[in-house]
Amino acid sequence: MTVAPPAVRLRAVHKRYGQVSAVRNVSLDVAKGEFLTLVGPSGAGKSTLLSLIAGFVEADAGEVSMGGQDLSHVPPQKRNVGVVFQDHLLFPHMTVAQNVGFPLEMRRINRKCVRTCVADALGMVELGGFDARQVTELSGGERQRVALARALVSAPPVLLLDEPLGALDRQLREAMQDELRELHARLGTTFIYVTHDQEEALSLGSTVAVMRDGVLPQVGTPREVYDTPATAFVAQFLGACNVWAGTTHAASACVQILAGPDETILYRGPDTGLAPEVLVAVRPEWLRLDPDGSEWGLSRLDVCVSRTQFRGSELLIEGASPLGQILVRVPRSRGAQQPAPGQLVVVGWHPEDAVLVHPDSYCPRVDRHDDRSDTTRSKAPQL
Amino acid sequence: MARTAVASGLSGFPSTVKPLTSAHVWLLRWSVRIAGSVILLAFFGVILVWPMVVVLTRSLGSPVWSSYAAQLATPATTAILMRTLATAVAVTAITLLIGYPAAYAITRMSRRRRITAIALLLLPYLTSLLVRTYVWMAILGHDGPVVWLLRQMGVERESLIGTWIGVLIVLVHVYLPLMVLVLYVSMRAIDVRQMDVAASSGASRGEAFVRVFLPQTTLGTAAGCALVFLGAAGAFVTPALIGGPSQFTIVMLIFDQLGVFEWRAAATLAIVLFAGTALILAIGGWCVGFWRSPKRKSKRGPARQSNSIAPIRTLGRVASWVPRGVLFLVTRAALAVAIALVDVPLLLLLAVSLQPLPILALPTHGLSLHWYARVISNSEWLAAGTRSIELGFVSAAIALSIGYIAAWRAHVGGSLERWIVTSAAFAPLAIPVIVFATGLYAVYVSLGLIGQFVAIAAAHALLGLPFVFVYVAVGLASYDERLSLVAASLGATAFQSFWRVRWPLLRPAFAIAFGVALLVSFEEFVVTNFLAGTGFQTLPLRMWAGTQQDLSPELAVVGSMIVAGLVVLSALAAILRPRRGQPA
Repeated sequence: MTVAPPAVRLRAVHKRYGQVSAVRNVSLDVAKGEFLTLVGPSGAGKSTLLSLIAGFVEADAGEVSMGGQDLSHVPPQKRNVGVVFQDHLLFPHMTVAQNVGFPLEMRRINRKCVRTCVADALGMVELGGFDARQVTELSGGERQRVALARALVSAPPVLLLDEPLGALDRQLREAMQDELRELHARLGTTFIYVTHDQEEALSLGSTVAVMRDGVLPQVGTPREVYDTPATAFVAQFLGACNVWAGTTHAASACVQILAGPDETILYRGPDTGLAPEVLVAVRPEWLRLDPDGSEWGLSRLDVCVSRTQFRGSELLIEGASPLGQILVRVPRSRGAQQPAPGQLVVVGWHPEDAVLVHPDSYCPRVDRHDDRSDTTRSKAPQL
Repeated sequence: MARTAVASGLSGFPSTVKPLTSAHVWLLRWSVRIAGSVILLAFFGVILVWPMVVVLTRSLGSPVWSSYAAQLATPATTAILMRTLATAVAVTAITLLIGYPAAYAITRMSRRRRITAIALLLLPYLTSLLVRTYVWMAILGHDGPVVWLLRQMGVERESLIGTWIGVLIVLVHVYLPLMVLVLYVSMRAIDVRQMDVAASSGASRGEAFVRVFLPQTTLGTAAGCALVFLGAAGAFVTPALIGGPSQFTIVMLIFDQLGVFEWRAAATLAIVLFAGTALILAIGGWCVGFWRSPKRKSKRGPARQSNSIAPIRTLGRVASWVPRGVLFLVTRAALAVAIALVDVPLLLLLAVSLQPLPILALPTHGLSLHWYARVISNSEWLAAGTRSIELGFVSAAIALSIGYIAAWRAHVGGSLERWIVTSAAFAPLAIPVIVFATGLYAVYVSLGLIGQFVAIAAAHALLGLPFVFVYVAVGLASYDERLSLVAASLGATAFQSFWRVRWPLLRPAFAIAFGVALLVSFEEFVVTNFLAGTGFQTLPLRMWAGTQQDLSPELAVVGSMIVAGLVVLSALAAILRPRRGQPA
């Protein structure tokens, strides 16, 4: 079996701006045709990573390669990478068609081809017939589509999108997300999509890379990063999460993590040689209200409700437990009783459902795809 | 009920609000509007339109064109006209050649260096054009540093005074800051990442520059060139002092004709000059328009790139081969040359002022405060200085009032009103000053206003108006009207909302506008020269007299004292300025 090289491969890439390391020894493989969302809080180094791939900045150390070719020292104009920025950056002195035709013209494509390609690209983003418009006449969404067409017109194998929908309102954003998904499916281009919106990251990407402080604590399918977060940060950044510290106790054929004055069982699982002190993550929706404490096998906490939030289909409960603050998300049905602030409730979960996470100082080097060509999946974190 | 009463009592809202009837509001709005329009009409009518009409009518004879025919049939006059226009074109070209890379260098600098560079370029405005030209006379003159330098290079030259090159050097010095700043503003508006996008579209550095950067600076370049060209074509002080009789210009000719009350000849020459500059600007504008025309693009199909003129694209490709370091050096060198040209006379000013001998010369022979004593003991200088300062404040106040009304009308008025007001406000930039001076002189003579303080201040105000208008208009445009609504909803009366919200936000723009108008008036020589008559003395007039009499270092002393005064004033302003966040 021949191993196809990944569309983009970063090897121990490092980038420093003055004293600050924006990207710290990041390694990442993006397979051909993948839709990778790069998500993290602002200042995490996402845009720098994108600039490194596009070639706008050169890495201090490490290697950037595309399709098996080392491009670390190749200027952006020789990389054939499409780029879309949040503020579209259309050339204001050119028409829509001139903007979209620009990459082809720079590659010395003859005029007739340019014209048909531009028409195709504009049709692809549903802006057929906009050729002669001035950029200033377009709405925000239209500008972003033109930017998309301009980035895609030269059929680059890799498209980089730096928060392209950040400036659009919610409805437009959702519509554009659908279009991006469709475009990706149709073109088979590798998309690398930077966002700080975790919902967008989970819903758009076939792979999600979480970034923080210049490193990637976890890369995996949306399901993996959500259900089995590698670190406390990943757990809490992608949706809310309760994270508690506990101590390890060996039990018969398994290991239990206990915490709190009542030695609540946070986690139960196979013994894989855990450290004596570990962190356990429990998502709010894995918790359930257990009014009479009858269900078997549940770990339980007494929670004093401090606040409830009505969310339509579900109810969000914040409260104080012996382990500290706790967040519970329970489905809601019409007419059901709703706990009032001050009320005592019992909250339970199956300790087998809980997930062990690393503390955040621990940032594993991301080594995916090594010797594996056909999968975009990463393993759950090995503890 | 009781609760609402308490609430309204606390917040100070009256429990019953007497509404203004719509008729009241309508009446108020219209009376304010009409008052504004009347003031604008009166000001522009008397100071701008009437003089221009007078110039035109005075130039007509019988038959109508007789005076023009006579002037243009004189070979000397046409030669002078050609020289004037050629000088202006050359100055424009040189300032562009140095200014474009210099402005580019500034945009690529760190914030701190950028501010330093701009401050260095603005430094000569600390002292008046007359003083700087006077110092240039020493630099370019007999045994001056430039002659010495030329001699080292093997070129034997007595002096550059009275040569075309000398005039060019000093005019470039005068107009370079303007060109660089206009270009810088247009370059700063371009997002650097556009170059990134161009690069990832496959454009080489040169192509990205030529196709993305250059076209976006076309308008700025055109504006800078137009301003410099008009300024250089209408310049009087520099050609008169540096060029002298051997480098006669149309402006100097008009001066001479007005001096002997040859109204028709002066008016004819003024119109000829105006027409000449307008023609060249129109040709330039047509070239720019041809290059940028969006209509032409769409007509020939979408893929037609109208700005892909072959030689320029080739230039782009060639530029890509030039190593980055070389380009860096070239742009920085241009900036260094610009700063040197602009600041050198200011540096030498002090040296000239401290010399003991009664002549203008560089290098100087020893140090002495002799001339300082002479200036201080001479009440003439003090009187002229005081008069100039008074004139500056009054004219700046007039300029600010008129400029505010104009900007306000342009801001809220219909498109026709906006067009008229904007054209009127910018007219002083589009017409060589001498053309105005001629017309205003005629008007003021017929109205008996020669030597009248307020009349002269009003004339100065017109010259400062374009700058005031720009600053105030930008200030008004950047004020978010919703802030007044917010203030009103928070309980502010109309007056309170103006005083506490609108005024503090507009104040910086007003302060800058006032300062610029003050400087324009403080420097003004050409118009004042005619309108002052005898007995009315301003500092520039006194300085001019100094250059005509004995060229003693007194002028440098006055110049140094003005610089010192301005430095002290700005230092005081910086110290006394209320700190941010503290009540004033």
